[in-house]
Amino acid sequence: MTRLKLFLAVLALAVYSVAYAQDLTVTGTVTDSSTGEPVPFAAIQLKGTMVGGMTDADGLYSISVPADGVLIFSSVGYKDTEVEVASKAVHDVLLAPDTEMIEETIVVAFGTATKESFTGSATVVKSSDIQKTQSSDVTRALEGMVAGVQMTTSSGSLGSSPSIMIRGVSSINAGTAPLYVVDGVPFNGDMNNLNSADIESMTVLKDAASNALYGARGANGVIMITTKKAKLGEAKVSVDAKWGINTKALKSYDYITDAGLYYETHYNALYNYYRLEKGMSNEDANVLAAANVTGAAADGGLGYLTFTVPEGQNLIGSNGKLNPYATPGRLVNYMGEQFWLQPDNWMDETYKTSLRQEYNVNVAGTTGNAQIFASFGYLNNQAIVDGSDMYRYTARIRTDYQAKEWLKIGMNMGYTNFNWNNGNSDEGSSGSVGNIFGFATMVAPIYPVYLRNGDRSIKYDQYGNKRYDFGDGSNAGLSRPISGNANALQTVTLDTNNSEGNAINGTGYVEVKFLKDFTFTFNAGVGVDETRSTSINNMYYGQFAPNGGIISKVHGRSFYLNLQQLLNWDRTFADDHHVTVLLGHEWYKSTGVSLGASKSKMFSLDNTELGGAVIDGQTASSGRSDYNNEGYFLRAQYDFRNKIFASASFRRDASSRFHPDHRWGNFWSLGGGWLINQEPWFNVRWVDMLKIKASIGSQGNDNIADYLYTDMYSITNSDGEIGIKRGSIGNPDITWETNTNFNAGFDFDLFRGRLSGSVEYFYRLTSDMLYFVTIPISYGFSGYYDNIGDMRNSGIEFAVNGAIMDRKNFRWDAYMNFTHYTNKIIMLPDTHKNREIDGYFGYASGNKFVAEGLPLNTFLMPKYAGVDKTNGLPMWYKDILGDDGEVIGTTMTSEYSEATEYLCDDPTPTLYGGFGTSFSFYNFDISAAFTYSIGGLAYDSGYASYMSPPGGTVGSNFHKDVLKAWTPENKDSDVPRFVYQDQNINASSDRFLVPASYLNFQNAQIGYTIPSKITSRIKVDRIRVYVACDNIWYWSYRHGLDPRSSFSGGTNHASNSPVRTITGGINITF
Amino acid sequence: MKKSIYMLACLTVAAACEALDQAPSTSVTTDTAITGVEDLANAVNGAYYVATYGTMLTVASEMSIYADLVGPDSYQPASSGQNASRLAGFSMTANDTYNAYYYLYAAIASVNSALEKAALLEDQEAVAPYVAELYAMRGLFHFHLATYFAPIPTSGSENQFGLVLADKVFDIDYVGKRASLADTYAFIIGDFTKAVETGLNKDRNTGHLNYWAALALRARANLYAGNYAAALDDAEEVLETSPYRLYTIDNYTKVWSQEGADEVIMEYLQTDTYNAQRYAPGYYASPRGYSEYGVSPEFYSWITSDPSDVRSKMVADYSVAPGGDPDYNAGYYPLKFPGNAGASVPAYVNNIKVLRLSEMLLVAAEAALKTGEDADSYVNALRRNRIVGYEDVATVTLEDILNERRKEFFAEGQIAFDFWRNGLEVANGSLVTGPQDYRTVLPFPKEEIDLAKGLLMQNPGY
Repeated sequence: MTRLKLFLAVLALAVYSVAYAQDLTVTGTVTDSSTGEPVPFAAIQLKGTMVGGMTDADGLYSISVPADGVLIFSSVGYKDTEVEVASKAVHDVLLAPDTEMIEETIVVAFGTATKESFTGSATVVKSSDIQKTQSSDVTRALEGMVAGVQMTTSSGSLGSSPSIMIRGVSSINAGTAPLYVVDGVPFNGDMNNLNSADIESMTVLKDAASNALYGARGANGVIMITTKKAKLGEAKVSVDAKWGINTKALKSYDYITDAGLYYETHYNALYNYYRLEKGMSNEDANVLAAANVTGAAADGGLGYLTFTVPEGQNLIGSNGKLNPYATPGRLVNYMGEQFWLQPDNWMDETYKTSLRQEYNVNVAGTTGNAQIFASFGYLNNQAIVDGSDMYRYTARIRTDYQAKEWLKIGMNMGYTNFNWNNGNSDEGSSGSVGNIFGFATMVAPIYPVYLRNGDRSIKYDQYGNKRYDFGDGSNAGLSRPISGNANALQTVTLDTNNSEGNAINGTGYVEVKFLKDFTFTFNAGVGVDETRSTSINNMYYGQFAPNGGIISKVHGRSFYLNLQQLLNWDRTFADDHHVTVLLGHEWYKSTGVSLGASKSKMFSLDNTELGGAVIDGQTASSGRSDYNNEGYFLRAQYDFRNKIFASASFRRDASSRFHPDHRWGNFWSLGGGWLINQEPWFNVRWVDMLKIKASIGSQGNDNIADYLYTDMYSITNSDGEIGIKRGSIGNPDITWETNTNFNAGFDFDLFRGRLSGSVEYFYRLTSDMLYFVTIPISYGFSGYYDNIGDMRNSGIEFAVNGAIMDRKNFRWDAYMNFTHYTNKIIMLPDTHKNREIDGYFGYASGNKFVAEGLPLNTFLMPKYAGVDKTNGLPMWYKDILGDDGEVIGTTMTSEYSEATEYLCDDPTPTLYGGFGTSFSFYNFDISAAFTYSIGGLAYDSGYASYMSPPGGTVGSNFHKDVLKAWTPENKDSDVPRFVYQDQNINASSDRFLVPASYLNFQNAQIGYTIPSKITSRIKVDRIRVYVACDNIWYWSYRHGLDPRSSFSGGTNHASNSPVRTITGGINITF
Repeated sequence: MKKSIYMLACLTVAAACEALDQAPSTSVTTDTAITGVEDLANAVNGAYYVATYGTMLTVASEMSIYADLVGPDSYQPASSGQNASRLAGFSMTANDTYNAYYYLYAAIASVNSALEKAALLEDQEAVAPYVAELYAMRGLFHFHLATYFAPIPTSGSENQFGLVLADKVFDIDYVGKRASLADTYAFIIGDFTKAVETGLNKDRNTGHLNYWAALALRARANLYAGNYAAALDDAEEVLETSPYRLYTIDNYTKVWSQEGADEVIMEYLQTDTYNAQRYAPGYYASPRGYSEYGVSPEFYSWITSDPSDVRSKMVADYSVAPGGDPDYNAGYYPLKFPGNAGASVPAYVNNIKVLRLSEMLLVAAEAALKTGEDADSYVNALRRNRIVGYEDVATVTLEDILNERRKEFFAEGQIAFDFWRNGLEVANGSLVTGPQDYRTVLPFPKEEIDLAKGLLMQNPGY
């Protein structure tokens, strides 16, 4: 009886129905065919209409439908089941679990495909996985989830985006980033303007069969992003709120943080200099080094004594150790003012724990023939350093309306308002005195951060600003030899680097069905992103103080318009032969405009407009850029009894980046698939699905700057007169870079959905590479673009998902993927083969050798030969040359300039990918995700700089390994001697080339869903509370090394990536 | 219903009919850049702009005082690790980025391109003055490069490599080869001759190379190439007929901030918005700047030992930091960079003086001495305008002339060249560089050599 009451109550609330006069009320229960459990909230749709309803919490339903109708029952995780009403009033329905739920539908170019019929290579990431990542950029959720995708993050700044590369590096000079397509329209904006809570799925298209229709720009892969839409059935409201804290996740190198030990180490560098280089006795060297260690930089001193030493004694004693009576901190009376000098921990003063908040609400529902999805989101994130924070409001509304039987229209509009403060504008630049990250990792632990009063309190200036030590004499007259006249910690609080603006992205479509088999679709996409940025260099301290502060404003607006006309024809012949043909045309236009000016001598930092400053910087300028693209295309797909599939496509594309004579390119693809399990003779019970597939095709890449096909003059101000200067030389012959892709593999589902995956082989050939040809300087220009050179990437991908255990109240899933590929330059222009090494012809570029037959980014540098035990100097290998310049042997040298440069392998990993697992246990759910990379090399420039003795720079941090340096008393050390003024101790060599392997604990989450029996009493469908953590931990070759910041093997310890975020949240659906 | 479908289809297909042709907004393409005489004027302006572009190691920054930094009176009150002290310490390598090399050749390319276009214009009479200026520019830009990257012909250096001569718009597959030293100077002198032969451009034109500038530069080039009689002729013509006037004892200390001062035949213009900033010579020569260019204490005592010589006022004794200011790099400094009148940051904005009338007196004196003619009148003429109560001398030696050059042209980028081209060593303390020392010639940039398929030889020693 109670059960019936509940049923009636819920029925009244939960069931939406549209009654027709001749209707029959159908009732029943929907249950899981494998477990017999009821399926709550399953959607019910009257086939061919938008009429529908859903089951209640107990799987019961009641719906009023025509007696001859067909009902479609669907629910996430189950296969759709169709039931003919056939005038029967009760239908109990069994839903079979869908073992392919992860990849039901694949969003492909200009349409969708079922997983079975799809002959290409694609991976889908669903919203449930996307939602695990706490990032303002949705693409971060792809990390480790998709085989073939490599991702690096060079910046931890708010609003920064990762770099993504799919299946290897395809080009030397043209762009290698994939194309983003949002709801069918190429997306040109900032990915941070998309709210990840609005994203239903991301599909990564990797091969020609899936990309060729984006011929123009598909060469580097395509990431199809689909926003959420309403499901049939009752309106749902979902509220998600999370609060989290950000902390520093990047590890520090193991450098000396103890001020006393730092003084000792620096003393040793001087002591060794005097005795080894200047020939002094140990006693004399000790006296001089102890006297100079805190003295002027010109004498090799650190410039600061921040310890109190008893009268008449030295900081460093005759034993070379810190005076045991020395205490940190020193009171100084300078020019009548008292100063307290103390060594500070620069890292601690730089980094802080900060707050992150995010709120998302969305409402999705259906009324009549219309579906509506609306969402609102708010994100507020503070950075882990001062001066940086952001907020973002997003709103989206999506409607789909079946206006007529033959006409469907829809619109999807997203709006974003954003405001980013990034006080630290020079991230990654280790030499920049404005880069707080570089500053914090570089300045030795003996230096004070602040100016302090005699009572040890921090001094404030008359404007109420904390006084920071700029090392310019302001602190008791002392000069800091490193980064003098600068203190990024203050600059970041006083300077401004702000961007705020609005972005609107909208798509609309009209879909017309006619003549039985035809569908015509018109898609229009438009986006506007306008950003106003403000940059202020303060007038109080630092480099721009003499100018009275500088303010510059730049306004930029980017606009894009995409129009697509698609004609589809779909017919099945003789029941067995199914053909679909798509004929289409696409037009894409993108425009960017900018306007900027600057002024100096500001009234106050609070007046952040140009009107508040008085001296015109004469930098006012505006600009405009245009890029257009047009294509015609055709795609035909065929399948035989849904087991043999074939597809072919062709696209003719034009880009405004090329001369009219070379503007058009032809791109194509062919694909085939065979579902072996559909063959009658195939009778392996444990194989649910087995497909062999292959595709080949070509795509284009025009990802270079505009107007490179023509010579250009730019207009300059030559002392108030017009000057025109030759800007660049164009090459009218440049055209598309072509990427020919071959892909072959298997897809499989085994053991009734318990194990699924795919294995794929790929071969990507880039030909007619858009290549920047450098020419002799005396030509007057650095070079021009041409289509020269070929490169290939080939490898294999493997991905597997498994349901390890699947019991009534316990489910354990796991996934794993890996990718292995190699890269090789196949052809280079002869003009660029100016050097031969080991039989390879090419040219040196920085510390890389670009040559035919070698992988791009092959390192070229001297090889380290260890320490010369007699004098402690580093040695490198050197070829001994015969009379004709041939190599007849190898020797070692301590003269760096004589060392021979050798080829030293490359950064391409041997294997990379991700793995993860998830459990659900009663109402608890737990998940963990990892990414990894094995093999490849990275150049550890951070370690190299920490290992260099003082000389050119004095007062920078030292790695603890220098404590093990060679000395006459420690001749067996493998660390070269540590002597003031020694050059080339840390000169570039394979000593600093280290394995780039890493293991990264990317994300973990634990959640608890309150039982629906409880929540349904308060009319709430679902309440889940959870704790999530991003960037938890990583392992790399050396503490402090982060090889995840670059594809080309560079590392950077002056940046701030990644940031760890721990979030607690609650998700309510009703 | 059908009708509405067709209407809809037409509407939507027609939406895409814009051209794929796009033009840049802030640049002009070559076809439209030079179509008339006015455009030619713009191209001339643009080439000067490019020649001094690039901030570091350009003819408007360190290279403008290169010969002083490696000269006998050079001194570095501080080492800020910048290029001036590296130049002074002879520690440049082929891997350094020589913006002077890059941008002078870029400017020459602009010149050649403008010359090519000029030949196609109809009004050749109106074009002629610009063509003359363009030739003079090409000559001067090559001349700068020759003094940095090749030895001076009269120095007696065994290195006989000259420059890559950019005498036309090159084809795209062009490979640079070094001409001989003799051909290089012949080419430079030839370009000045082309500029002079038209007889046009005799008016003062600040910041531009006119007839007189071309003639005076030809005098300098002939002196460097050992054509002393020709050098004397050119110098005399400039001295006798040009509109420029020598500085006087009264105005000598005040002219350095002036644009288009009496004596200046050629200067590179620097403005508040276009200058070499911290790499400008003024910032190097400031005790609160990089302070990598001062004058030696010996030079200071020598030049100030005669207070009746107005040039003694062009050096400053900043050897004691005021109030013990640790940011103040104590030393002796030249005072030739006071900042252009009205400059917002005086140390950044100083026009680079390329050529002054008084140089013609010393060119004439040296050329006369070497051709056996009377040299003392030229030196006397200069000194009368510099020294209060000066009494003429009857004879001068080469040493006198070089010493006069040290006094008159310090901080103007000439002095080391004057010693080396006379086969003399430059001695600055313990650092002695003779004309045979490989370091007196900078290395050719590696990028140029790497792309030359072995056809381009590096200067020996690098």
